[in-house]
This record gives sequence, structure tokens and C-alpha cells, in this order.
Amino acid sequence: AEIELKLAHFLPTANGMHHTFMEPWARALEECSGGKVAVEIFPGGTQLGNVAKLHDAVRRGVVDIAHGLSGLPGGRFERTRIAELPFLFSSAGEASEALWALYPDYLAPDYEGLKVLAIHAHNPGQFHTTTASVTRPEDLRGLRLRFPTAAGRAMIEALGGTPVGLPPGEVYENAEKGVIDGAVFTWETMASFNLAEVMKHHLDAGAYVTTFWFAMNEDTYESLPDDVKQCVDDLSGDALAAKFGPWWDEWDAIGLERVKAEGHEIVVLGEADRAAWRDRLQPMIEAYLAELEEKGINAREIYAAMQERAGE
Amino acid sequence: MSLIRSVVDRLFLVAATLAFLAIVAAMGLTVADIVLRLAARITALAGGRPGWAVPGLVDLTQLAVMTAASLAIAVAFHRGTHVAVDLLTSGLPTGTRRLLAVVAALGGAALAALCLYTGVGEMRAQLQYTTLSATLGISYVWYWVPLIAGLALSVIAALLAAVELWLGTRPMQLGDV
Amino acid sequence: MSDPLVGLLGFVVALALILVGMPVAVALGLVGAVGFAILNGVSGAAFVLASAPFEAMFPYTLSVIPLFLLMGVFAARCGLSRDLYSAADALVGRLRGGLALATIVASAAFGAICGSSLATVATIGRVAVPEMRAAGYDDRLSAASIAAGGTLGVLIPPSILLVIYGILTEQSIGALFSAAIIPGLLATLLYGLSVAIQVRLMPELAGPPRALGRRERRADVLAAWPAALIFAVAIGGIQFGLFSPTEAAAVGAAGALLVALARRALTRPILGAAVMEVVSTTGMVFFIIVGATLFNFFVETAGLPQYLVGAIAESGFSAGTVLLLVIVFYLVLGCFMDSMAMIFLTVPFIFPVVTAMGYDPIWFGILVVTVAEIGLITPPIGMNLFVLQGVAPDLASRTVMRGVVPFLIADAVRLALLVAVPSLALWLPSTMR
Ligand code: NA
Ligand code: NA
Repeated sequence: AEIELKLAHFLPTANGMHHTFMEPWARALEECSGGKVAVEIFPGGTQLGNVAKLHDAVRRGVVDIAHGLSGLPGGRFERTRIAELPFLFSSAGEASEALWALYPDYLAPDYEGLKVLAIHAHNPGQFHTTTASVTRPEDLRGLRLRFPTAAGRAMIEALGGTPVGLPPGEVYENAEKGVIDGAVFTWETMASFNLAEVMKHHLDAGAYVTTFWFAMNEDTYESLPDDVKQCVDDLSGDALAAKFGPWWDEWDAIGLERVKAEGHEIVVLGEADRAAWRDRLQPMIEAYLAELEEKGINAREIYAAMQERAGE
Repeated sequence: MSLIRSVVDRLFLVAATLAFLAIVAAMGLTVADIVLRLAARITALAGGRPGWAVPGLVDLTQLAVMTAASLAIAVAFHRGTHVAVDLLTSGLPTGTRRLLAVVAALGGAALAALCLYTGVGEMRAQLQYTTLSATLGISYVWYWVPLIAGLALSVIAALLAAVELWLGTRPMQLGDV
Repeated sequence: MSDPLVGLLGFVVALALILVGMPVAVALGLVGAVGFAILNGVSGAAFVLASAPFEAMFPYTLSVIPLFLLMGVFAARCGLSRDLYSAADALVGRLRGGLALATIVASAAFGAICGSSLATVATIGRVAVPEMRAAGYDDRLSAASIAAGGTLGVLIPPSILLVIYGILTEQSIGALFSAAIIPGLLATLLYGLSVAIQVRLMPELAGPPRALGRRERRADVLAAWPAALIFAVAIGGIQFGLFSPTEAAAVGAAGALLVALARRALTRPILGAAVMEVVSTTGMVFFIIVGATLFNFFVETAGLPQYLVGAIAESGFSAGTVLLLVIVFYLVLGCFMDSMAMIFLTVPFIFPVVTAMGYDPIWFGILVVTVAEIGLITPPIGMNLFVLQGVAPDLASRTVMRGVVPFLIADAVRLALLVAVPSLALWLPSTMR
């Protein structure tokens, strides 16, 4: 192929995001280009797949395309990550489509130097615990929980738990040894990180989402011939944004089935209970937005726009 | 030369002491966190549920190890303890061995200098982005400062080693750069 | 020139630089940076050069390295390690090569808590080299038993490599851990056997057995109680969930420090020497990681491992031949590459090929980790050999590399057994279902 593109991401190849999203996406681009393009994928665990370096790597053109976590390293994608505030979105589809709709007017400053292909979020995650059964906010007091995002950390703190920072790959070992009492995580990780083996109680409170970005180096994109640009455009944006809802449902279902097969306790919160949790977290949400406003980000406006979308 | 050497020796003694203190700090913080955790569990038996912990233990440990490792790399250059293999070189004549040792030292200086030069650029980029650590939310610049300092000291140590090896004022022990 | 070929050339150049005496870290780092520049341009190489040192020192799990080194130095300076060796000597000293056996058992026990091969070698090496020298052991045997013993920690659970394999292939980590127990014990046994045969054939390798009275023997064993206590706290703490294996390093260091303070062993000159020792060894280990990180950036963009795996997969050979090729592939690659990077890069490609041929996924995990771990002690590039040399700088490379050969033979026997009798790995997990 005359154009070789490097695509890097931070996930193991067994993860759904690799084999149902990025791998087929790369092959579709190759096919659409009529063989002009070849895409080589560098998954998690490779040097190029280092989660904390993906944003720098793609902006610098060391890789051409990357899929990363908005929250790692911290301090970036601050507009997008407002979507990670607790009890805002209630499904991956809703959140992913809202993010894409808000991208041009509200989120674009987060993505300087990038041709954004998609922004997405997972289905709201759960409180997974090893031995303690959690059903009410009070039950979190004193529990050491692995946190997923900055907003998730603030949420755990506000509810009286102790947030612990751990890379996803180390959650199993630390939970097995009892160093942490649980993790705030998605159903999907119960299967992909084998956490169903150590987490015995699951509270599906619909508490939070984590955001991801999928983008190409802007100069790389501009250097592509027009027909290849067209291929990239056709494979991303609105067409891609709509797929994340069903995909996340599929990926999460695998983890949920694993948990059910193990016969664990699963508690699902109803809408009324969720409202009570949300009320408790209102001061935390306010503080989070106020801090962003201080940095000169129109955080309240973005949050309101997201709430409007979430309500639709 | 010997005046330079004694000033540099003192500089690296300070660096080594700081690196050691950073390791001891990582130890102390971790043990403190474990003790707090244990105390919280015991209190929990009596019905309380305190979430005692050292805030941001992982962030702080990483900062300590970053400081220790960066400075330690420079100290290892200064003391000539970076590992080399003497499988073929031990049988060579002294002149050849000296030449190879000088080349090796210059190679070390070049690598450290390349990492230093590009690292300063990277630190600036991090400053622009205000990248933050995971738990405490402290700026990544705190992690970069010791790294840059260690790399700069490494360049100095490796260059000094090259000069001294060339002049024959430094013995060519194994692992010497 | 194709990219994989550039990768191959990089291996050759790095090896040549190492053989003419360039520090391992410098050779790997320079070749990695230059190779990356050739493949991806100067700006790409600049990115990699700026990232590698940071990424090599930042991971939290690596904090075990300086902390275990700290523990090792305190333990050695306050006589804890001598106590431990006297006790081991009292228990198995009547056997010829008893201290080498004790070293291997100690490494296996340490590996059971730690999981990092480099940290195991650094800690045990710091303690064992001087003690075995004092007991009249040949450097060849003592060095090799430490380097080989260090690999046991990779297999004996908890094992970082098995966790990674489990995540990459969606296999149960619990099943992998239990599958590793018997092969881990077998490895310990075979290393012990290797020592016994070596000292029988070459009695000059081991010091003379000491004739101790029963009372002296008991006194020696009892005197080791502080060391035993630290060990019990570290292992017990992990088992009861008081702290993680990573944190156990800090507990061990603090325990050794307390003993050193209680024994008033930390005089000013001794503390000064301890500082220099901990710091220069820490620098040595982390710089090798920096160099290896740069080198791995290069090898992975060159696509060499992926290319070789693809060639094996498409060869059309029989299942047995493919397995043999896979083993050879890992052994050869392991001479140059970091075992973790190797597993990340190759397992996703090789796993579907091998399992499609009917090999058990759990068994294959044990096999892969076994061969990756053997790579840690195969010359010319074996991380354990380098770390050991760093801990005891007056050991000659040749001594270490020659000494390790009988242990490699033990590894070959173990591999053959694992391939011939898969239930060595599969029996334990099958009883747990
Ligand atoms: Na282990
Ligand atoms: Na090797």
C-alpha cells in the first residue's frame, strides 16, 4: 500500500473495542481506499499503546490515528469530561450521540490539532465490591474503591468512600488480596479483566460514564488524497457515533452474563433512588463545575447543554 | 582537573543523598498508609467507618521513585556502575580497551543528552497542557523537574568520565563508562 | 530494506555494541532511538526519546525495585542476611552445595511474594553473593543459582506475566495461577537437582560442608527469628489483604530498617555506604529499563515479532512443529527483548494459531511464561544476568554466563516435561472447577 497508517490504542486485543470497533474500522478504510491505505494497529501493552501518551503521540504524528481515554493523563479534554459527572447520562447511546452533537459548538477546543473521528462514552458503570454489599449511599462509607475518572473520584469521596488510583490491569490483584474493597467500573470489565472472579456484589446505580476519543492527526488527514479523505469521513462522525450504543450494550452484556453465571448479588437502582443519590452529589457537581469555570471554561453552559440532551 | 573532580564529587553526593531520601520517603508513606488502613479496619470492628489513608499514596510514591531513579541514573554514571559486558573486551590490549571505554562513555553522554534535549521540550508541552496526576491532581511538571535534573547530571557525569578515561586518571573497571 | 529487516539489523548492531563493552542500557537506547528515526523520522524519534525515561520510571509497580534494594541493603548491613544464611546452613549445610540450594529455595519463596524477577535477583543477590563467597563457593555457582533462582518468581504466583496473559487471552487468572503452582515447584526441584549434580561432578564449586553440633545448629536457626518475622509479616500481610505485593516491598524495607536501628548497626560510614549502594543499583536497573523501552519502541514499529509470528502461522507445518517453532522463537527473542513487551506483542497473534491446533489455552499460558522467563537468563542479553552483575560488580560476565548453563539444561528438561505431560499444569485447575 502507498499510504501506511499507524493506529494505536490502549486496550488488549481481546477487548470488544478492538475487535468489533477498531479492527473492522481499519479494514473498512483499507477496503474503501481500494488498497491505497494499509493500517497497522498497535494495541495496549505495546510502547505506542501507552494510554498516557496516546494524545501526545497522535498530535505529534508519531502515530496517525489513536483511540484514547479522555481522562488520562489528567488535565486534558476538560470540556468533554463534564459528561463524566455522576448521574448525568443513562446510556452509552445517549451519551455518545450527545457528545458528537455538542462537539462542534462546545467541545472543539479540546481537540486542537486533531481530526476527530468519534467521541463516545460507555454505558453507566456500577459499584462492584468484593465482600461488602452496597445498596445505599451510606454503605460506601470507609470502603476503598478504585476510581475510574476524576469525577468518579470526587463522587466516591463525596459519598464517604476512599478513592484509590490503580491501572485497570492491577484491579484484580488488589481486590483479590483485599487491598481495595471494590471498584467503580463497567459490566464489560467483569469479563475483560476477569473481575467477576473477585467482585461478588454489584450495584447498578447508573452512576457515571467514562469518555473516549478516536482521532487522526490533522496534518496526516490533510495530506491524504481526496478519495481517501472521503473514506475517512464516511467511516466516522455521525455514521460512527450511532454505533456506540449497540456496541456498548453488546460488550457490557458479556460481562453481565459472566456475573449472572457466577450467581452474584446484583442490585439495580430505580429512577427514584437514582434521584436521591444525585441530590446527595449536587454539591460535588457544583464544585467540579466551579473549578472548571475558574480555569476559564464555560463549564456550566456545557453541563446544561448535556443535561438537555440527556433529558431528550 | 582534581578541583573540578572534587566539586563534582560533592554534587553527586548531594544527588545520591536526595535519591536515597526519596526512596525512604516512599517506604515511609506506604507504611503509614498501611497502618492507617489497619487502624480504620480495627475501628470498623467497633462500628465506626473511617476512611483513613495517606491521600494520593500512588501519586506520591511515583513522584518519589521518579526523583530517586532519575538522580540515581546520574549517580551510576558518576560511579561507573552501569552494567557492561566484558566478554570480549577483557582480553584486548590496554590502549584498545581505553579507546572503547571512552567511546562507551561518549555514547552514554549522547543518549543522556538526547533524552535531556527532547525531554525539556516535552516538559514545556506538559506545562502548556497542565497535565495532572491521577489522584492528587498535582502538575506533571513536578515529575519532570527531577527527571530533567537527573538527565542533566548524567550528561555531566558521562562527559567527565570520558575525559578522565582519556587522560588515564580513571581506572577502567568493569561496567565503567 | 523492509521494516522487519531493519529491526533484525538493529538487533545485530545492539549486540555488537554490547560485546565491545558499551553499557547495555546505552547500546539498547542508542540503537532504539536511531532505528526509530530511520523508520519513523527524526520528529518521531524525538517523541520516543522524550517519553522513554518518563515511562520507564513512572509505573507504580516499579516502586518495588528501589524498595526491595533498600530492604536488601539494610538486611545485609545489620547482619539479618548472615543470620538467614547461618540458619539455612544449619538446616541444609550438611548437604554438599547446601547454600546454593538454600539460595534457590529463598528465591522461590521471595518470588512467591514479589512477582518481579529483577527485584528478586537484586535482593537475594545482594545478600547471597558475599555470604557464599565467605563460605568458599565458586562465583560461578553462586551467581548462576541467584540468576536462575530469580526466574522462579515469574512463574510462582502472583505473577505479573500470567495476569497479562490472562487479560490478553481472556483466560481465568485464578486458573492460570493454580496451573503455575506445580510447574513452579517442578522448576525449583529441577534447579536443586542441577545444583546437586554440579557439585557432585565438580566438588570444587561448593565450599566444604560445615560440621556443626546439634546445639549450635539449633542456636543458628533460632537466631534468624527477626529475619523470619519480617518474612512472615510480608507474606502474611499479603495473604490477609493488609497490603498488596507491591506494598510488601515497603513493609520489608521498614522491617529491616527497624532491626538495623535496634542493633545500632547504622553507623555513619555504614549508612554512607548503604546510600551509595542502594542509589547506584537503583540507577543501574532503571537505566536498563529506559534503554529497553527505547529499543522496544523500535522493534515494535519495525514489526519484527509480528512478522516472525505471521511466518510461523502461515508455514503450514504440523501442530508439533509449530509448537517447537514457537518455543524456539520465544527463546531466541527472549535473548534480546524484555519478557513483558514480548508477551504483549506476540501473544495476540500466536494464541489463536496455537489454540486452533487444539492446545489448551491455560497450558499454553504456562508454557509461554516459562519460555519468556528462561529468556531472562539466556546470554548474551539476560536481564537477570545484568542485574546480578550490577549488584556484585566484580563478577565477570563470563563467570555468570558459564555458570548459568547447567541451569538452562534444567530448564530444557522442564520444558520437555511440560510439553510431554500437560497435566503438570492442568491437573490443579481441573480440581478447582
Ligand atoms: Na511471583
Ligand atoms: Na535472554
